[in-house]
Amino acid sequence: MGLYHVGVVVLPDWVAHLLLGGCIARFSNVRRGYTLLLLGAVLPDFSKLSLVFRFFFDGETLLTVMNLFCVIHTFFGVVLLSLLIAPLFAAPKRFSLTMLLVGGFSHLLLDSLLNPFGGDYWFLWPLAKPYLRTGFFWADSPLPALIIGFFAFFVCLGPGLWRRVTGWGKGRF
Amino acid sequence: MPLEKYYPLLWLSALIGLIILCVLAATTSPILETLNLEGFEGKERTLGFITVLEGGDGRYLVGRMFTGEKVWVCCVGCDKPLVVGEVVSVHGVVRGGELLVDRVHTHQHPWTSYYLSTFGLIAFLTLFFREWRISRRGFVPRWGGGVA
Repeated sequence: MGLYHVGVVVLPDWVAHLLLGGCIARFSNVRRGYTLLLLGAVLPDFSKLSLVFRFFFDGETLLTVMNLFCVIHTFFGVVLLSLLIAPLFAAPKRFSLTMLLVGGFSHLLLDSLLNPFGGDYWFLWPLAKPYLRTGFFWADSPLPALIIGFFAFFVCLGPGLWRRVTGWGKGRF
Repeated sequence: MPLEKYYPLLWLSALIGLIILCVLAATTSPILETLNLEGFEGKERTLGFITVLEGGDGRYLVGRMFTGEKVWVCCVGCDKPLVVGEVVSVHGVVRGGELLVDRVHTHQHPWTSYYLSTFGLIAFLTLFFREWRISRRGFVPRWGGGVA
């Protein structure tokens, strides 16, 4: 059992994560400090930094090191890391923390759509259950970035067009 | 503001919590699994992002890109034959210490996300440092500090 039933790495897709973070910021009407939300949206993927250690370790030792880093790719890891780095920013802590958490959770939500064969993401590690199980996209699929990019085009680049087409978000932009 | 007042305590708790989680992860290695099939007899197993190293006629040696682990899988009657050199994810049931594969997904472009993420990283850093600058107080907002 494990967080990733799929193996060593789930590929990062920062484009999709950043676009989703940008959309959330736009819809939340956050004009200043929205990059904190973007930071939160890519923060869990900092666990991929463990790949640097493949030049120094291999086998079980490398897996142990990677497991160590993977802690920040879990729900509790996101919460704890956000609490730790929020004071680095000279902004109200409530604001910094909220932005980082919303971004981090958006990352986990988007990642929960991935996985081969509907496998398991144990985001709630060290709690055993419940885990998220969807498996809509493969990790190397460009579809999440394309779908969110299409949505982001209307939300961020063409808000007037978005309003005219859907009638949503009036007064938000 | 209660949050501002108690934040040092909260920060310390978060640090201790993260250390505990890291120790737990390092000692039990629960998050990423080895390719070891022992203890999975009769159970379903997915091996993701593995490289087909050698084999043929239904039996293949597959390995992990980074850790150097290797394991034999049996792909007789699976929906797609494995090709040596490809990066695949396989799913099946463990029988007799071997994975009997029933589903195969070939990753055509396994590194594309990493390359694209480079553009994402550059875009993020550009936007981030347009809003924040580094000082001795940490990251200071260029807009003055008011939010929303």
